[in-house]
Amino acid sequence: MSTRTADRLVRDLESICGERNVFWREEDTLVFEYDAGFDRRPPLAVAVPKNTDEIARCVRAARDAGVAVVPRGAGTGLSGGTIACGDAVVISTARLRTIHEIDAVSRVAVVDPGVPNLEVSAAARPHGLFFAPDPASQRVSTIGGNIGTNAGGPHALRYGSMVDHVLAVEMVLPDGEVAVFGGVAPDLPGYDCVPLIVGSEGTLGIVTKAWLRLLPLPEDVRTFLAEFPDVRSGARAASAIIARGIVPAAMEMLDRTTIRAVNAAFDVHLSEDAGSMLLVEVEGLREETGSATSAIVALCEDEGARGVRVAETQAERELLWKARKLGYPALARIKPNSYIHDAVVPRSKLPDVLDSVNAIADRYGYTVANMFHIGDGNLHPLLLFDLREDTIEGVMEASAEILKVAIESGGALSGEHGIGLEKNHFMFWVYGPEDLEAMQRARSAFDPDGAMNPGKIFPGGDTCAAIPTERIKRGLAEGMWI
Amino acid sequence: MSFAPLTFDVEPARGCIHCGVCLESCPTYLLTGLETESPRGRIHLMQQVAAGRVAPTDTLRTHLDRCLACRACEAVCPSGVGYGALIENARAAFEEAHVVPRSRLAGLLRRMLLALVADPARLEGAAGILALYERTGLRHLLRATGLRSRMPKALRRMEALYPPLTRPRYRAPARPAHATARVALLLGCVMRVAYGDVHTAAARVLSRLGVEVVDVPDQICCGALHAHAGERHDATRLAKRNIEAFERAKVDAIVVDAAGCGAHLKGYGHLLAGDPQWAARAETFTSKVRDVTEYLASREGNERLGKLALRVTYQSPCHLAHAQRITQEPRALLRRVEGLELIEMAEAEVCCGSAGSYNLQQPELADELRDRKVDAILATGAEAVVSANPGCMLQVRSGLEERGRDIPVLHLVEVLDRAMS
Amino acid sequence: MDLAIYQLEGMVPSRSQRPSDTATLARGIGEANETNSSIVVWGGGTRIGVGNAPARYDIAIDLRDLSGIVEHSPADLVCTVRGGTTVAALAAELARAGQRWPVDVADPERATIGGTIASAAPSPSRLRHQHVRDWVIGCTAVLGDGTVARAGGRVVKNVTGYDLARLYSGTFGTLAVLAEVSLKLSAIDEAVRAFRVDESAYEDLRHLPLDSLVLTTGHTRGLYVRVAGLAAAVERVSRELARYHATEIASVAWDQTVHPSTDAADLTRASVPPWRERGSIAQTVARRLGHAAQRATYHAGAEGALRPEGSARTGPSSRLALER
Repeated sequence: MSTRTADRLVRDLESICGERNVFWREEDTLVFEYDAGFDRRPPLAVAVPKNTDEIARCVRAARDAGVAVVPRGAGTGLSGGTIACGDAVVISTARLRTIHEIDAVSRVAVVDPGVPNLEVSAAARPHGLFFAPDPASQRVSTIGGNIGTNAGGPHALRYGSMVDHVLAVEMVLPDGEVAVFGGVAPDLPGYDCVPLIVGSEGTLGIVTKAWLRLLPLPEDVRTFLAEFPDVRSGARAASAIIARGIVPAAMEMLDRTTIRAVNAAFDVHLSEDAGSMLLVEVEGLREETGSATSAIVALCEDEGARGVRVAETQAERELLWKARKLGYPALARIKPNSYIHDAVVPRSKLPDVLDSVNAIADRYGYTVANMFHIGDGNLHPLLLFDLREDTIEGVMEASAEILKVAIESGGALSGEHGIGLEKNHFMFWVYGPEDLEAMQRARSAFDPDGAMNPGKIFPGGDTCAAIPTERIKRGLAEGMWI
Repeated sequence: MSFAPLTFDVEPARGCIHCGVCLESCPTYLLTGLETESPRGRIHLMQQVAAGRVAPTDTLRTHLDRCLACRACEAVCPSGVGYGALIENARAAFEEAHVVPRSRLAGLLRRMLLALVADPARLEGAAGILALYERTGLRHLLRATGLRSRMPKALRRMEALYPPLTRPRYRAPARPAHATARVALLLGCVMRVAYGDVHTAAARVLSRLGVEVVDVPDQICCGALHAHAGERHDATRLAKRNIEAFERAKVDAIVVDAAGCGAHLKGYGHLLAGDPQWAARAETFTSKVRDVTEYLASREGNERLGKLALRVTYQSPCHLAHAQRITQEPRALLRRVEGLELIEMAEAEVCCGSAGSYNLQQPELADELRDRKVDAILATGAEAVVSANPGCMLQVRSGLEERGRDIPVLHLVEVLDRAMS
Repeated sequence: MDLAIYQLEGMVPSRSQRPSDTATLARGIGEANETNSSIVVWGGGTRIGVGNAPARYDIAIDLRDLSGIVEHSPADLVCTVRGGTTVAALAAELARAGQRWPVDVADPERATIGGTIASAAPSPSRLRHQHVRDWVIGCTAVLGDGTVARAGGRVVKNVTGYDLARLYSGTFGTLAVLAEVSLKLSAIDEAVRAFRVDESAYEDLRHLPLDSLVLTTGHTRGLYVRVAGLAAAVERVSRELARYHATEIASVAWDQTVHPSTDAADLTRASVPPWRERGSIAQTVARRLGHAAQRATYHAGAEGALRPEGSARTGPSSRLALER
C-alpha cells in the first residue's frame, strides 16, 4: 500500500476517534503486535473508538482505503486471533465498557464488548444471578473477545461455552452497517446467526453490544481436591466420573509441574508429592451436591486417590480457583517461554492421550505441564522451554505431534481458544475441502471481500507469510498429513 | 533508523508472557483503555528499547512517564515479573542517557527538591518559610477572596498539594515501664516536618503496647524519591547512611509509618546487592523493616485497641498494598477498635493518583484518578478516611476539598492513638 | 407412489425421494439443483407446517429411511445418529445406558432428530436445558448443490471453525439437510414429577429450580410444572410446590397437556422474553396479538403456540416476535 493511502487512513481514523486514540508510530503499534500466545506482528495502525458509531465509521474508513480490519479486545487470546497479518488496522473495543442493563426478571445482561467477563458476574450477583462462562483470563478478557473465541472456562463443563449464553449481538458488518442478530425472546423468526457469530474470531464483523443469559446462583457449591499418585490414575478417575453420567460444574486436572508453579505463585500449599490432582466443583441443590460429592469421591478412591481436601470456606474456595485460573502465567516461573495447546479429546480416551502427550514431550526433551478442563476432555498441555537454549522449530514440531494424537483419537483442534493463525494450517487434519468450503460460503455471506481478520481460521493464503512460525506450521501441517 | 540503544537490565521482565492479567489492575489502563498505557505494553516497550529494536523516542518515554509506579501490576502478576525494579532500571537509563528533555528551570527545581529532602537542616528552613504562608493566614485569604482561582493552574495544583506545615512536630513518648521490644521509628524527610504528629501518634501507640521507641538521631531521608527519579547515585548514598545510623541503634525492628518509605527501605537489600561491602549489611537492615500496621498486627494478642465511634473507609496505599503486599493487617487493626465501623470502598486497591510527584507531572491523569477515588470514598458515606501514607493523605484531602467536603483524612495510627487515649 | 402424503398448503410435489444413505441423498439434491427443482425436506412432518408455504415445490425428500444410530459412546456422553431417526427410537437406545438427549417434543414417535433440530422445536424443558441447538455438537449436512459438508465434531467443546451445526438449527431445511448429527447427552433423571399449580404462583415459581413450566388456555387451561433430577431434591421442591395447591399429574397427562397440537397449520407462534410478563403469559400473548386465543400453550424459555379463535385453516402457522 502507498504511504499516501496509509497517511490518509490515519488522518481519517484520528478525525473519528481523536488523535490520542489512534496509533501509527512504530513505538506505539509495537504494543499491539502480541496477544497472550506466541506470534508477533505489529499492525499498520490501531484505532480505539469509544462507541458503535465510531467503530462503524472506522470500519468504513478502512474499507474505503482498502485496508483489512482486525478486531481486538483486551488481547488475552492464545491463538493469534487479534494479530494483524498483513497491513491491517486493529480496531480495539477496550474502551466500550458500559454494563447497560441487568434485567433480573428475564435474566439478561446487556453489555458493551469491552466489559471484562468477571464484571458481568459482579454486576449480576446482587440480583442473585451470575454469568456462567469463566475463562481463566476472566478478570481481564472482554465479552467481545470471549464471543470471538467462544470462550469456555472450567464451568463450561456444566453450563456450556459462550455460545450457550449469548442471546443476541449488535454487530458492525464489514461494510460499516450495524445489525442486530438474535434476541432476548427465544425462537425468533428467521435465521439465528448468533451461533455462527460466536466463535467466528472476528471474521464476520465487530460485535459492539451483547445480550447475555444470566443464571440463578446455585443453592449450594462444594469444591474439593482429590490427590492421585500419577497423571494416569487421575485421568482414569475423570473418565469414570463422566462415564457414570455425573457432570460436575467443573473438573480440572493439575499435574505435578503445575502444582509446583502455583505453590510458588500463590499461598495454596498443595501437596507437592502428588502426581496429579483433580479440582472438582459441584453445584446445585444441597441434595444434589451432597450425592454427587460422595459419588465422585468414591470413584476417585477406586482409581487410587490418596486423599481429598475439601475447601471449607469461601476464601479457600476462591484461593483454589485463583491458583487454577492464574496457573498458566504462574508456569512462567519454571521456564520463561511456553506454548499452550487447546485440543479436545473424547473423555474415554483421556488416560491414553495424556500418556502419549507426555511421551512426546519427553522425546523432545521439554517439560510439559498439564493443567486443564479434564471434565470436557479439553487438554491444555503446556510445553515449557527457554528460547535462549531451545529452538522454536522443535517446539512447533512437538506441538504438531500432540495435535495429531488428539485428532487421531477423534478430537478437535481447539476447545475454547480458537484457531486464529496458530492452528489454521492444521484445519485440513479435521476437515476436508468441502467442509471448509461450506464455512467459507457462510463467511462470504457476511464478508465477500475477506476484509475482516484475514488469514485467521482458514488455511492457505500468504497474508501471514511474514510471521516466521507460520512457515514452520505450514510445513508441519503438510508433512504430517493424516 | 540509527540511534544509540539504551542499555539496562530487563531481567526482571523475563517471566512476562503477555497474558494480560495485569491490565485491569493498572490505573492508567482503567482510565484510558489503551494498551500503550498498560503494564504489559510498558514492559514490552522497555524490552524492545533495551533490545535496540526501537528508539527511545519522546512518545515511548511518555508512556513510561505515565506509569504511576504503583506496582499494582506486580502484585497481581502470577509470573513474578519485577515491574518496580524494571521501571526503575529504565528510568535510570533514560536519566543517564540524558534523553529526558527538561527545561533548565524544571531541571534546576528538580535538583533542588531532591537535594532539599536529603538535607534535614535545609528542609527545616524551607518548611519554616512555607509555614508562614499558612500561619499568617495568607493561604486562607487567597482562598477566601477567590484570588487562588486566578492563579496559574500548575501553581494552584502545587498550592493545593503542598504538605501541611503547621502540624505539631514529633515528640518522643515516655519509655514504657515494662518494655517487651525495642524499635526505631523512621522519621524521614517531608514526614518529619509535615506529619510530626503522626510519628508521635505511632510512637504513643507502640509505647502503650509495651514497645520502646528509641531515638536514631543520624537517620536521614530514605532516598525513595531519588530512586524513583532515576538518581541512583544519591539513592545509594542515602541508603548507606541510614544503614549505619540504624545499626548503631541496635533495635529489634525498624518501624515505618509512611508506606512509600517502607517499601523503599525493604528494597535496600536489592539496591546494594551488587556491593560486596554493603550487601550483607543491607540484607540485615531490610529484614528488620516493618510497616507500622504490619508490626502492630504481628504483636501477640488480639485485644481491643481502644474505643472510637466512627464510620471510616480505608484507602489502601499502593506502596503498602502492592509493594509490600500488606492489605489485611490495617483492616484487621481497625476492626479491633470498639465502635469503629469499616466500610470498604470500590476499587480500594487502585492508586489515588498521588504517586510521589506524579500529580505534578501528569496532572490530567492524576486528577481523574483522584476524582475516581473521591467518588468511591463519598459513596461509602464514611465520616473519615483512613490511610497509611502521607502522599495519599494529601491527595485525598485535596480531592475532598475540591468538592467542598469536610471529611477528615487520618493516618491509621492517629485513629488508634485516639481510640486508645 | 402416493405423493399426496407430502401435500403442503394445497401444494403437491411432482416427485419424491426416500434415500437411506447420505450419498444417495446428496446425489438427489445435486440432481435437483441441476434441474433447478425446489425441494421440501420431510422428517416426521410434525412441524412441517411452521412458517411460510414454499414458493415452489417440486420434490419431497423424505428422510425417514435415513435413520439409525451410527455410534453411541456412553462413556463420552455423546452419540451420532442419522437425521431421520425418530426421537423415540433414539430415546429407547440411549435409555439402555441410562442416558438421554434432553429435548422433549410432541409426538416423539413421529418427530425425527433432524426435524427437531432443523425446526428448533420448542421443548417444555427449555427452562432447564435451554435451546435444542445446545445439545448438538456436530453434523454432516448436504448443501443445496449436493455438497456433503461436515461441521463440529464428536467432542463436547469445540471451536474448530464455524459452528455450522448450530447455525442450521431453526433454519427449516433452507440452508442444508441434516444427514447425520452428533449429540451431547445427559444421564436420565432419577425422579420426574409433574404438577398442576395455582396460576397465581407464576411469579414465585421463577425462583424454583424447575425442569419445565407451561401455561395453557382453552380446555386444559392451567399452569403446569415439572421437577426432575435427584429423587431427594425433587422431593423437596415438590413439597415447596404444595404451597401453590399443587396436584400431581401423571406423565401421560403431562404429555397430552403441555404440547400444542402437532397439526400446526392453524397455529400462530410467538415469542416473548422469559418471565417478563405478569400473570398468564399465554393470555397476554393472545391479547397482544389482537384476538382471543381459543387455545394457547406457552413454554417458559421457548416459543408459545396459539390457536386463534375462529380461524379457518387458511395458511401455515406464522412465527412472530412480540419483543426482541
